[in-house]
Amino acid sequence: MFGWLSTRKKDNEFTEQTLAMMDSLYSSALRMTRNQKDAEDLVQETYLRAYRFKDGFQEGTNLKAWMFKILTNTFINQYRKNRREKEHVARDFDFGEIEGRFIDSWTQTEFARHDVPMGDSMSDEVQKAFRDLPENFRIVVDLVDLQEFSYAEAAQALDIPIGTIMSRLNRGRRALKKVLEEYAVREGIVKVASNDADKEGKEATVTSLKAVNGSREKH
Amino acid sequence: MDCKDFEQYLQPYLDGEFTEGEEREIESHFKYCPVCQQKVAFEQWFKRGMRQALAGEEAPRALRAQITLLLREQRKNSVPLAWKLAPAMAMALVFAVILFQPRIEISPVVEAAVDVHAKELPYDVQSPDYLTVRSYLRKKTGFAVPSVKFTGARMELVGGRVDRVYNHSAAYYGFQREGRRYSLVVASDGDNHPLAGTMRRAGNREVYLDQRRGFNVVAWRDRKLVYTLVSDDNESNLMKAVETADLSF
Repeated sequence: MFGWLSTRKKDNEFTEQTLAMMDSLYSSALRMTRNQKDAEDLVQETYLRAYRFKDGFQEGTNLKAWMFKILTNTFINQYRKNRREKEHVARDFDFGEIEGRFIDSWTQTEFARHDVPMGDSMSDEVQKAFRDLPENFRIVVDLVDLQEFSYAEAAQALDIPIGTIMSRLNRGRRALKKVLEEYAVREGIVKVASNDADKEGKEATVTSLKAVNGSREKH
Repeated sequence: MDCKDFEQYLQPYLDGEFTEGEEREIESHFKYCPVCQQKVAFEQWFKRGMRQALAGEEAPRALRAQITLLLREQRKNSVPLAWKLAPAMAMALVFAVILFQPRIEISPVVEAAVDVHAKELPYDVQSPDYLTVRSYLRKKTGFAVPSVKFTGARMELVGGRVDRVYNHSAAYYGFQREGRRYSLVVASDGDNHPLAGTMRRAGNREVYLDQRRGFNVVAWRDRKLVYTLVSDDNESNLMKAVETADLSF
């Protein structure tokens, strides 16, 4: 006769556990919608749906993955549909190959030697590159790199196989690194004697290296 | 394992996808391979930078309060029949409790004040002038509502409203302080219910500090009236305001 008591308790637990995820959900929502108002609406809608469909959640499975599944589905169905600007599709996007000049010479910069974090200007490049990623890839990078999902959790949240998670993750990260590499070479954060060496098929040689604090912009 | 294998395992390795045993196997390779070590160092640096560049934000407090409230309402609407009969059962229970184990009920005024704050209803009278708002509130509530000034905190009076709280008319004052809303509910509580929360001293007052639905709440009693101040501002600002609360009748 007190069955409703345990339902009530489960309900409370569900509410409490999902409310604890709000900062994470909001962060991803902000990165997806790119503005605060839409992010707030998206998060609110996610909670309402989660609550409405909470019987569909199988206990013992991953609640975080389930919540993010609702978040991404809501985003894809509702917000993307409304957006007039065309999202570029993945096949038109150039994920690029990394030339490796930056990575090779990075080792000898201050970044590597004294564990100097990425500066502001490089952060800006990463932000821009992330924004430009096709949505499918951006969401995978978001879940794994920024929300620390395991591949299995991400696969569960997005309803795609683990193999697809891995390939989207690799290509997404590669695109970000490529933008950063181009920027670092262009800005002289790493200096490479590029043209001749490349033509001869040799590896680019590092002639001079500067550790550049990113906040110092030079043009 | 050679460098080519390693290259293939690098990303899942850094993402923590391998078991401990597998990790050791991978580490045994790059321990002796400076080229691969550099790759690991680069990837770690990159991932750290990326996390910093794309760091998340805390959900706004208003959003948190709003969602918490929504879920609460959903829960009310989706209760089973047995639960809908609960008021009757609760009555019986209260009766039983009173009979067999006398216990004190917490004042309902505080909870009602939080409710009123969360709803953000429009004002009946909108004015920064205390006398204007007070005379309206007195007329409508039928009791001697004081004006309440928070002299030490830069709180601006926005307006007033009459609310029903616990079956009595209650006076509502709305304030703004640096963009944050403060609600003060003044209600008569003839039953002398105790107030919820932890007891604190604020000036010469004994007040009760509590947190409800993401809001900080301070309640105190003065003569026959209960004063409840609710805000999403932080605890210390709220306490500072209460310390300098000046009641004039």
